[in-house]
Amino acid sequence: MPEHYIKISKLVKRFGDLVAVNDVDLAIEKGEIFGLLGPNGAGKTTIINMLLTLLTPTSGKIFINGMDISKNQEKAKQMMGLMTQETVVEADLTARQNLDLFAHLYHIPESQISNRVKEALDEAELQKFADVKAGTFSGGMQRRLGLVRAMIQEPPILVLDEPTTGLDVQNRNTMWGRLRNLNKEGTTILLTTQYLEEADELCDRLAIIDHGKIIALGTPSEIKRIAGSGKVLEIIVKPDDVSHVVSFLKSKFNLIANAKGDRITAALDKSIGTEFTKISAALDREHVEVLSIGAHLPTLDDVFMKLTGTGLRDTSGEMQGGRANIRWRR
Amino acid sequence: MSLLKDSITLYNREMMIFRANIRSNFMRTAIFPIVLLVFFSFLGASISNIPVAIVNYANNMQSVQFINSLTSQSLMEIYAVTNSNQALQLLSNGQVDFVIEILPDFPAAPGTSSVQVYYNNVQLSVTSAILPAIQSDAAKFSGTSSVLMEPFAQLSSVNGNAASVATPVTGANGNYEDFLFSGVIGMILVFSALFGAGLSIMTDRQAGNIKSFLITPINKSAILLGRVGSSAVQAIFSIFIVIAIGLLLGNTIAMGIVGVFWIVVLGVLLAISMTSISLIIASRLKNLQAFQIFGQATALPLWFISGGLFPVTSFPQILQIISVFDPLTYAINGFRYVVLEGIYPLGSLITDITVLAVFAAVTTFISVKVFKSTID
Repeated sequence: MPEHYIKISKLVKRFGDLVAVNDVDLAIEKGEIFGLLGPNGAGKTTIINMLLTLLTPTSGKIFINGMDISKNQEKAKQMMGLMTQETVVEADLTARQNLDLFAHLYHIPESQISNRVKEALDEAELQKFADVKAGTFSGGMQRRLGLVRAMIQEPPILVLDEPTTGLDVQNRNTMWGRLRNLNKEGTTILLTTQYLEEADELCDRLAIIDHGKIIALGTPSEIKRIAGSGKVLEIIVKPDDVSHVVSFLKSKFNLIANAKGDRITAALDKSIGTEFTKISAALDREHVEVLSIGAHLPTLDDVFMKLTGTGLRDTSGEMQGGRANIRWRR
Repeated sequence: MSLLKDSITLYNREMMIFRANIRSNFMRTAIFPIVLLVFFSFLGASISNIPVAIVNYANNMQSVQFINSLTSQSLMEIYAVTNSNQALQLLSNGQVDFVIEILPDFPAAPGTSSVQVYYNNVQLSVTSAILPAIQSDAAKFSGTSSVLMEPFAQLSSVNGNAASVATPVTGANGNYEDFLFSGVIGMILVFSALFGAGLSIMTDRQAGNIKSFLITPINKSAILLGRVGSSAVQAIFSIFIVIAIGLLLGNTIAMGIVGVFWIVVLGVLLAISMTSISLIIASRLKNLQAFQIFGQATALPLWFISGGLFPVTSFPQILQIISVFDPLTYAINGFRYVVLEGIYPLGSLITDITVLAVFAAVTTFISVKVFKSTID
């Protein structure tokens, strides 16, 4: 018996000179919600594409339930449903036609198709709109349709590539509810996200990935503790004062501060009440012009800052550009 | 087996999308034939100063009146020539397009013929304008409507007693509208297949639809084959639209309903080739604008050298040679027999269909290979 349900072993993917996925090892258990967290271009989608057998790994292997997926591609595909950020219902087809098409593509026996489609329409609460073109649906309805379409062959694994990016709060919450229900019914879920909040809310475990490498792995609370157990102090000063403030915080308060542009962050360990006031007053005495000062709960950005020394949002733009070029050439 | 099933599934998907957008698809197919047939066919109507050589063996008053009457029309430019050999030499040199021989017995007795016309049948529109003019003038001055007309290419021994008017080789209704009509059928097929299939697969790829197919356990080639199949069926739809518009505008198909059958056979083969070429280009390009440029650069030359607008025989030598390698030439050649002449000689039929079928098979094979090697 294999010990892990999905086992990714020494996975490497290169596009020319760019190493998109660099020696990744992951183990995902049955019935778990596992999150892959990282900025755009970190390699999340590349890992998922290799899992879905859309890309061939440069080296390394992926096993599902002990089965090498490169040797059993069709079987592996039957076991996984995918919903992506831009999912992608057929806008010109009705909800029913959408589901019918994928039921056929997954080779569901003809006699079961109409039943399965009806079930899926019920699950998505789209019975009333079954014969309406999907292109006229709202964003939330399209996601619902996309989700049941991804699950049309009732796979044991659901892969979600940024499932809630671009959704409003209400739709995002209902989507989370649906995913939790699917998980309760026994579906193993692997999702990628840029939002710590989402990972925190949903995932049993998560891995943070950057430049194709896993840099942290654990439960959400374990991950957040990397950024500090307390809140994060954030000070914005004039650019000229930045280095002065960083050394000041180090010498007076023994705080290890990271600076990015005019923004300085530092993890606060103790209860913030007293320390926050003290820092604020001390900076005032130093005649530093503080443009903004505050404290917030650790975010992915803070975890990132801590782990890599760079902000999440700053890296995402250029990485995306670079990756896009690689894709063209391929 | 599963490849066939998957292809049918994806063919059904294409057809559902096609039906969902039936109105815009209809408009897209209809707009070109309407514009071309209504507008461009007038180009064929402005014919004037066509060089005509006249040999007058009769040399009497009626024959001079006949010549004067022809000269007074702006349609023709008349050259008087002393003998028949000289006139035919001019004709074969291409210096004149018509030779009118007024025979010694002009004006002839009723029931006999005393005017002999030789012409080259390269420019159909010209032939169809000039011949009736000569015929009506000859009738006016000779008292008989009998004019012997010989297409120069098929010059045979002249039977002085022939009473009937020779049928022009161009068929039942040899005018430029019908000539263009057959060309437009080919053009619509090329343009709609070449742009339709490639653009739809590129937008599908950009939207992520191709990826959503690739994660299902289907054969990758089915995505392509389903599209080729739907293109072939949509080509039939286009053919019927163009034919309907053509018939409404007064064009005719000399071969009738059998002709429509051959148009469909040739058209489907042509559409398959063009779809495959389109998919080859689309598999290699990621940018819609680049595809537009490549598509234009492929479609326009294919159409121009195919003889869709002008007869291939009127091309410079070099283009005539190139046109042999243009699959559209064979389709248009077939359309032209069917539309203009009403007979489709077996030899031409076999050549046209074989060339198109081989071309369709080869391009489809290449497109499957190319598509398989591109990773999405």
